[in-house]
Amino acid sequence: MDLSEFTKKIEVLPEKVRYVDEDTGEDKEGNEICITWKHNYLPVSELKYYVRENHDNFESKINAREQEILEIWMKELKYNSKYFIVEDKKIKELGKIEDDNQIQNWLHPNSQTVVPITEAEEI
Amino acid sequence: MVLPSSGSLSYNTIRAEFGSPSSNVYLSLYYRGGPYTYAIPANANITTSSTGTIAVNDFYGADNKGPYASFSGGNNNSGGKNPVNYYGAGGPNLPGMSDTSIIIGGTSYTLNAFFTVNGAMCMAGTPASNITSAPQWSQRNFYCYNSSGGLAAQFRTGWAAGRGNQPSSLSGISGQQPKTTGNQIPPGSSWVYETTTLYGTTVANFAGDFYLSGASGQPVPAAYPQFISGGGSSLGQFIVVKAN
Repeated sequence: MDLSEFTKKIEVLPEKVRYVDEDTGEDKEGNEICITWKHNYLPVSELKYYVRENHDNFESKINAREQEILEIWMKELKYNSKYFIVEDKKIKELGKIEDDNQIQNWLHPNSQTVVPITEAEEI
Repeated sequence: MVLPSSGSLSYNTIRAEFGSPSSNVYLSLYYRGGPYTYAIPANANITTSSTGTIAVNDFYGADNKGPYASFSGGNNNSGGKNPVNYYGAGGPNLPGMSDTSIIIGGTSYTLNAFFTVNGAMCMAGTPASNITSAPQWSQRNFYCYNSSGGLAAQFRTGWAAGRGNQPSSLSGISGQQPKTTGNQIPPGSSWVYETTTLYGTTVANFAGDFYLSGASGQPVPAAYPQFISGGGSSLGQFIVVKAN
């Protein structure tokens, strides 16, 4: 199931927050941001995340929260996390064979494309 | 990023630094070793219990999880006559990394593997584009803190890190570098750091030197990569990695 059709709303909160700029060691003030994820049509919760604007890990923190939210939505849609995962914003069945390469890799786990050929030593 | 070490700290400031899924700011969310706060020296004043006493001024100088990688390290002994012992995460038959983002020398990387092979260090990650010919990786320290915040190990890269061209052979073995695929390297990695003791070399020009994909070792005398404290087996537990 595709979960990718959601809206992400970014809102700047009125209260300023403090932080230390590690490059200069200065105390600074910045904006706090609230990000809200809402799915466009699925009956799942609207979820939020709060973080400072221009935080060093702004993108990675939001990406991590987004993945967490997609997994929450997956559970809300009654998918068992023991058998399903969220990958590329889609709910996928764990271990499901989706293309021939997976079969070939299982049949020939050390094929030429995985481990390069090495010449045998002459005795 | 770190919180200020004095002055007023609002609840929103703490929330904005550590990140939070909740509009209700409650400090107990940020207990040391919890979902948002690693047990590292910068956070030493924060309680380790979600029900312990926690106050705003415990957060002076506190740091969020962003710059640090973490994993619950395991051990894999290959067995046999000459067993190979792996400790850490991301390597052969070892657990995966649980937090892959890390800042090394002010630059962000994704760390897919951090483990030792018979005591020799091996790391892999992305992106390779962050690694330049400048001595970006030279003499970097990797501080490995255990679950209680104690320093379990400290590894320092060699002087030669990130310099020079890739060698066509290593200790007489051809085709060793760059080795961004193979059974020791998690898929998707675009760089690898390995100490040459992985190859059992005793060749002076290679001994103790360090290799990063696309870079070669430098002749002695050089500051060798080494564990300043702890060692290979120290990585077989919960570890938070901080690099400088």
